[in-house]
Amino acid sequence: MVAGPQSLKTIREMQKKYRPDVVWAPITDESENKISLVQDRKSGERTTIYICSGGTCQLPVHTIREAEKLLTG
Amino acid sequence: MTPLHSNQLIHESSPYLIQHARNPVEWHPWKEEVLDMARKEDKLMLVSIGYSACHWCHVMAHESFEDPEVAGFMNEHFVCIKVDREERPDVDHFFMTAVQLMGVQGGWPLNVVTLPDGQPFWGGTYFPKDQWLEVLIKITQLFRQERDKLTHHAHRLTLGIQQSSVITSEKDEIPDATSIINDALDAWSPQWDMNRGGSRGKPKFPMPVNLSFLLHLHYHHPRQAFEDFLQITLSHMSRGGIYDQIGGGFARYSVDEQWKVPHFEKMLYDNAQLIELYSHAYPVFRNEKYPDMR
Repeated sequence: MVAGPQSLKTIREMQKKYRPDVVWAPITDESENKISLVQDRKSGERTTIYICSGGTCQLPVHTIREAEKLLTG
Repeated sequence: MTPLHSNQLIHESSPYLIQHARNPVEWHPWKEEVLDMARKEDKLMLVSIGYSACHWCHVMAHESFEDPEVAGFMNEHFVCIKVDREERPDVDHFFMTAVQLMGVQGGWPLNVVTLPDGQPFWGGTYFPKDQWLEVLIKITQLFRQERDKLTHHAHRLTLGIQQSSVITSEKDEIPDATSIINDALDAWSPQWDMNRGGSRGKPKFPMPVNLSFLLHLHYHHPRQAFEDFLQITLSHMSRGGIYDQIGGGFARYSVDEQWKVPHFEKMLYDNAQLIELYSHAYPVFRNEKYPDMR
């Protein structure tokens, strides 16, 4: 899940790699209250990437490179 | 028949049904009162299922359903019902299951004959006019002379359809995913055409679900053979006549084994899945033609 004003742009960048097991979701002002996993994750000014699996999320990161590491790690 | 003759389909909204509204066959839409009519008149029902983009549905309509002799026989002995499978996928699914249980190759047009109470006992797809008439004559003879046998056969088929819609697991344990994947590969990979892609022989279907599965498997367990087969298939399909090189989009299948001669209709469900497949394959194989496949 990606929060911040650049969330869609970041998702598009991440989607340039084939990752069949990943579903990307942008966190917007509207989605904040609707998806239970993102209930306390606000869409701030900074791009914030949450890599979640099995109902839990790892500590957020702020760059694509860090997110890639979490995904391949 | 006057030139302005129309049957009950004239009141329908489906383009496929309206295409048959001027047939001399007295088609009825799939409705409760029509099913009641067959029961009351003790007539066999002929259920003919298709969709508007289906090539052989139109060939059969033109050869048989627009023919006064065939129509006369159908009207005399059957309550004839036309179904648009895009409007009634449930009805289509029921009769397709029936036909498959009869051991007959399914497809469209799907023509099924049922007893007056709606239980199917015979089915098939496209027939040229003479064969179609011959089949109908035989069925009506059987119905007159050996109705008990037909009823017994229809009853057994109906039981089979009911059972096939109940999903049961023979074992309690969850099957092992690796063995399911290996079994699927063992069954499928011997058919791979490593020269032209797709399955060996003709006709050649794009089968996007199979290819997406293989791409996904290759992501987790890369193998040279998977990569080769995917690349050969995707690039041959993109260069072949199955892909509309001018207007875009893929035809349902190619009639030959070189992806060369397309079979007419372009299905939305194939094209949607093929766009996804080529989009996913592009970052993996970096073939510059893939982004244009739409």
